[in-house]
Amino acid sequence: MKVAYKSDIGRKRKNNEDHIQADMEKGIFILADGMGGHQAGEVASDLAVKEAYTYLVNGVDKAEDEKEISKLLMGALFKAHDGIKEKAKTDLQMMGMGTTLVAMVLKDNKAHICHAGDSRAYHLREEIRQITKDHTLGDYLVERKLLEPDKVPLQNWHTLTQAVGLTEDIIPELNHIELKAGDMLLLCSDGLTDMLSDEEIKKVLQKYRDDLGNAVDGLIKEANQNGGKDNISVVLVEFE
Amino acid sequence: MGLDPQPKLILTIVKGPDQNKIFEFTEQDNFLLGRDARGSKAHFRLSPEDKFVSRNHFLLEINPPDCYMRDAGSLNGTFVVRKNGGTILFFLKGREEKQCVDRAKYIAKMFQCESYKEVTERIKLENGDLIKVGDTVIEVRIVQEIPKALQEVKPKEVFSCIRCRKNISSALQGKEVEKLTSDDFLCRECKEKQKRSKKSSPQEAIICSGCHKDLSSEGNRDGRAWELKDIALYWCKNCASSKEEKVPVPRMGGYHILKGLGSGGFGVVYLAWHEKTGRLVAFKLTREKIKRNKQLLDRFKREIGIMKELRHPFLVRLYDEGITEEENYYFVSEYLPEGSLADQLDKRYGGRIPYGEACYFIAQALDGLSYFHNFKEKYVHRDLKPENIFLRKDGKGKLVAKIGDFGLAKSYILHGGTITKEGEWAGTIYYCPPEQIHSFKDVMPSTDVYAMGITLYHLITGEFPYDFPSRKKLLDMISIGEKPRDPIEIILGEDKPIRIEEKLPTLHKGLANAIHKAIEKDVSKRFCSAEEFKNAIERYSS
Repeated sequence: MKVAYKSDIGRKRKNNEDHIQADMEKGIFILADGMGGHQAGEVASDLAVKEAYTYLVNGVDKAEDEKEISKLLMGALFKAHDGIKEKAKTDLQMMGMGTTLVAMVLKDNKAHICHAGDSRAYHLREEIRQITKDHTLGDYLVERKLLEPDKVPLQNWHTLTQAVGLTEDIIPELNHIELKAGDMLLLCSDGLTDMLSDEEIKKVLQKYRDDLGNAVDGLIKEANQNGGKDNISVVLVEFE
Repeated sequence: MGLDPQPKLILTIVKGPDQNKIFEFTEQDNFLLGRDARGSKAHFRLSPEDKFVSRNHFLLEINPPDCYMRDAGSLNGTFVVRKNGGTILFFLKGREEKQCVDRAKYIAKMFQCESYKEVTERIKLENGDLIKVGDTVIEVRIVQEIPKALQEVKPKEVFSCIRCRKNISSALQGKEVEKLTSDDFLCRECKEKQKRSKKSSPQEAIICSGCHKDLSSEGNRDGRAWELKDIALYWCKNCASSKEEKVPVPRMGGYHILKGLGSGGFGVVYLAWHEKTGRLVAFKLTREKIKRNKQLLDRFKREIGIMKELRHPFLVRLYDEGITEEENYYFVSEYLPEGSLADQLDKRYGGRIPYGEACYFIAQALDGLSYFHNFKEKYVHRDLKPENIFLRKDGKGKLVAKIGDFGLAKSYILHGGTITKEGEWAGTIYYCPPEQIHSFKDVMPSTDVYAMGITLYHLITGEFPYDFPSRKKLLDMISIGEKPRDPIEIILGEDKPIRIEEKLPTLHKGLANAIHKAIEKDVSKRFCSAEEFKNAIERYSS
């Protein structure tokens, strides 16, 4: 596989609250977008990525089938959730911090993705497809056909129903994808997806198909050109 | 004809040692205000506690409805906050000219003024102005009082005694509610009781809760010892020092920060010690982020605005508010050493509270909630759960429940600005009724009734009325290839709550029915008010 990743502060924020971890050898990729004052967002996403990575790297070789990998991924998100809650308990400045978290394990021609929050995973073959569901109240109400999208109050699109370390508990969501050679997988924070549509992302990925590093730079550049209102983080993997 | 509206100037001290004092002027008058100290010639002398007020501070030239104010040779100047579209600070310089300008900048920030402007000689006061001298704030109201013969007959309002809930409407008939103090909302018997206890209670005996040292002289330095008699706790300097832990900022706004207590979502709460009086307080400080975020700041200020007027034995009492040197907002409220019902549920009761005690706490909280729902513009709390119901011991050592954390509270009549917090679920999902998920902004008192019903269910059983997926269950489901259900789906869906008798078969049928009526998903089948729910469970309390 080929991998490229990068995190950019964007054009409006004073600090970068996103964190990324990529381990090609083990096939583990993690992205987190933190929230909370006093640099707590940075602490939350950093801690979540570290906790989840440690948990995954220690168990990934032993996990043999989809069910075991699923349990491993779930356990990693719970570990991150508990780690942040514990930290927030002992450090008042960190109270109320939380993060989104999307973790992916690539094993035996399959991508296993587990997430909580609104950081996304995409799959690109001929078409681009969003794998993860955003855990926001707006998405929830629309998905359950409780409200039409244009009737959803704007703030509901940003109200997270799940956030690692922040909400009471989390119910991480799992997705599994069979991979073919040439498939691309993208993990990203909402700093990218709030600035670029799925089609715009697809265009950039296809334009720089031969060089993942350029593709990552291209996505960040376009998001910044469109306003760069939040931190922008991208992990791009090509399956060979 | 003698029936023309009569102009009247009303000055109300809304903050400071002389808070709640009112002066009314219907005729031409000159009124000098200053601090009570040797050499003062003031007609009204503010408490010597407010050292920043000069002995002769300002002069009012009154000819209702007109009123002009001059600085009367004060040291620090006289300030007027005016809301007229935007908020502007006007100031009349005192003797220390440079200090006055610095102080104007500071006060302008404190009152969120868009600009500040020096006025020479005198300023004409307008209705709604706030006069700030020292730590004292005086509200100016200029009204045209309509003679009784011209007054419309208003619909009769119903008032209850805040202690015993007896109807006291007839006693308050014809009185201007806005001018009444909390004592006016007591029935005759409760007033008598209060007087007797005031006489018999050793007013001078303010005792350190740690070592029982007499703190009578320090405790009343701000003149509020009586007002906070049954509420405030005190520590002497030695006891306070011994409890001190390492905190980021050890002193703020006259308070010594002792240790962290927790977090209220957008503020950090500390246990603090009021240096002047020895009073123990909960000091809630906004996060750095809040002062940069208008939405959160509005929410914090709204919490302060609501809390500072609430006077009820089962609601947490606000003492003070202000801005730190770093320009962070804070407010100071009653310290409740026993923590919250959530804390006690595990520590004291091992996960389940006997139903009699649980009903006792919840009935008290519902009493406070009922007052809150009917308070002024009528509010809803929107975030009731065991974590936001606090406990303290009364004079006899019995625990008393008090509702706190009004951060999500909102008037359900005034549909003002929307301030749902971005990026975070508003309220705790397990305690939310369906209508709060659909339409967070349009909730009614019955929303709070639902949350109190879930709270009572949870206190008694240690569980929730729905089978929300636990972690173990989630992992089990993965093993059999099933997908878990989201709690929101359970709340919004057709799922019926698990009858409480299934968990506690011996529970009184009447109490079980009352709890299930409170947690009805259909609002029309739920108790309409906190009062109704309270009446239904009170008989089971012990």
